[in-house]
Amino acid sequence: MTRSIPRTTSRAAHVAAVAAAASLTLVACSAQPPGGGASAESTPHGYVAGASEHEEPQLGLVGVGDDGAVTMLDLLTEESAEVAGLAFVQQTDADGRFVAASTDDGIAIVDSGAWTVEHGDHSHYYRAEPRVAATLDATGPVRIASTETVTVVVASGSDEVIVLDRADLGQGEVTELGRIDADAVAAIPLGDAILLADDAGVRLVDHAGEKLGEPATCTSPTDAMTTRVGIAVACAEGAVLATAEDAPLEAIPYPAGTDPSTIATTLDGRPGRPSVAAVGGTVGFWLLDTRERTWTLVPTPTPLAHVAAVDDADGHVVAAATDGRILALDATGAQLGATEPVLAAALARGLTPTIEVDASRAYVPVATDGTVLEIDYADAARIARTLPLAAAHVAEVGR
Amino acid sequence: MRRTARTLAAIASAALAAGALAACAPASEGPRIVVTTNILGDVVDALVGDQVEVATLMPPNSDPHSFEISAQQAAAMEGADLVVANGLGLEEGLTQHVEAAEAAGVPIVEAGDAVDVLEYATEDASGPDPHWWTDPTQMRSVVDALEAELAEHVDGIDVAGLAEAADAYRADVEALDADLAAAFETLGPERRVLVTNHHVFGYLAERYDFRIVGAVIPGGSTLAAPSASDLDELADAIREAAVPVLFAESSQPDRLIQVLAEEAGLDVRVESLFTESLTEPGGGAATYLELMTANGERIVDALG
Repeated sequence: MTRSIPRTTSRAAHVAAVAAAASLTLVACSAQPPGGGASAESTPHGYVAGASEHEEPQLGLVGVGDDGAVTMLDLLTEESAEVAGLAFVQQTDADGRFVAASTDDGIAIVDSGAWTVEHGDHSHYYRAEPRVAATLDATGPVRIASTETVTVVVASGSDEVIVLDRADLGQGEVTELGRIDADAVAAIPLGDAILLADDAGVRLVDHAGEKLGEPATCTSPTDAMTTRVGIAVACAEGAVLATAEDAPLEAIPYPAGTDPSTIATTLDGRPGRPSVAAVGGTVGFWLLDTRERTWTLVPTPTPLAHVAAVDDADGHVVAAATDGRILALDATGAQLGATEPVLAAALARGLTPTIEVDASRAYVPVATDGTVLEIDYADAARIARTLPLAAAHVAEVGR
Repeated sequence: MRRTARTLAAIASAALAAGALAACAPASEGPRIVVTTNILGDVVDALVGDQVEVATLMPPNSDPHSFEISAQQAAAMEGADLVVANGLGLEEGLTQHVEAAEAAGVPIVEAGDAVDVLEYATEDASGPDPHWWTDPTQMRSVVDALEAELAEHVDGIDVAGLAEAADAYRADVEALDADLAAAFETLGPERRVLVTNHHVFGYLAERYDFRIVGAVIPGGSTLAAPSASDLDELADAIREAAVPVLFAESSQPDRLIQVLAEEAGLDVRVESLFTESLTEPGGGAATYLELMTANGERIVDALG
């Protein structure tokens, strides 16, 4: 730590302003009712009515069945609770707290009630009752992404991007800040702007869809993800990176000579880290480091069906191999450990594996037996726990 | 931007004051001084005694970053003679209320303006460290500033009584500082190490020459089925620090001790410290002086 220069300038200005105010407020007096102490109306914990604050992340898995059954599995206690029954569900997406489900009756947004707020050198961990927060009159497939204040929902079936007030959503209220007509592949909030990726490229827009700044070329965008550095969009020519609402969009091209059959179509990694991973055709995986602005193709001994970057000190990567094994790899592609081919049956049925990564574990649903495997990626892909959660769609929340 | 806001507030308050002269309600209808954090509330109470009503917004045993206030309390802020806040970004949940009070012409004194500010820096963030009270010499500077601001803004306050109380409190804080320095000195430099996941002891470390070793405490999902690899980082930190104590907030301290013993062969104790909030009376840290004394005793007891 360094001791900073005392802030004499602002202090002087402060004193001057306060003195000026004081000379004018000598007679200031109060007609307000007394509000001393901790009244019964004050909520001692948390920003959100009904939420409690905790010492550690309130990690959980939200499982959504094809039949619409929503279950929350608490990863700290292993207790399960039924949250809701939705209409028939085709597909889901999640932002770390809210799970959006594309159903026969529109888009349902489930509030898991578990979330983390980062605050500089520390974080706050919250827990509230899970519930259905909203049902939107729109058609999926759905994508959902949030900042602290704004949640953006992409309704691909109805070609709409719906901008919601996130604080209100957390109270079970739907406040639409905007609705944009767009056939978007992804729409992710960035400050007061929204990054929009569609066939016309990548651009930043306001809540009404008005263009802010210069768009960037992006042929056939396929996926986008928020990293520690900004928002990365996967395009045919490489990645487009948006770091701030008032900063120019940056291009991170693939290395010269990249085989088009290897280019990334999905990005996945631990939330809040600079690097994300993508399957690199049958060669191995890509690591996109948004801090260094580099793509690195890492060959693996086995082709991969899905991959997620952990981006910890040891550069761990978790992958589902096409042979059904879950692999713990490092950033050079070296295999550190593997499970048995636990996903072989699911892969044979044409299902795409998913991997959720947090600071110590990865969660991989075994779609065919009603369990989720908790993988200790730092310990040679050891299966730490086999968790009962029978659901077609699984998202980790509370991170 | 803050300066502009204050200037505008001053102009606005001039208009308000002119109009409010005739319609002045008795001061007894609301608190004259509203304080955000309970640590500062305790100090302001010590300075003004029974002279005027002081309202502290932050309840005991709560988190200054995230507590909320009622509409009634927010209104009380706008009707006060003076609002005392920590500043430096500590009271995130109160920013809008402090700004509203400021816009209503209420003078705001931020303790952070009187502090020799440390900066924190992590891999992903940096900024001013708002937890200055862990160094009593910073509290002494804040008492000086509070004395001046209270005398200036709280109409009718007995300045001589205030000065007497401030002198007495400064003496208490100086004695606290001397006691802590003497107690920590007995530990020797190699034992003045805090292995901790607390983020509030930067100022204490700076003042008393402690080394802080940041520790990531495994959470419940990790402790459910751990292996040695889960404890590597923490065990390395403990071994490097060469002290058998973890000053940590953990929801499962006993499980953590057990796992560290089983998986890393480490025999440690887990101690908690008071950090950002006073307790209820009898809770061990009902006042600032009690909080600091209790932490000093726990640290010396654990490391000595």
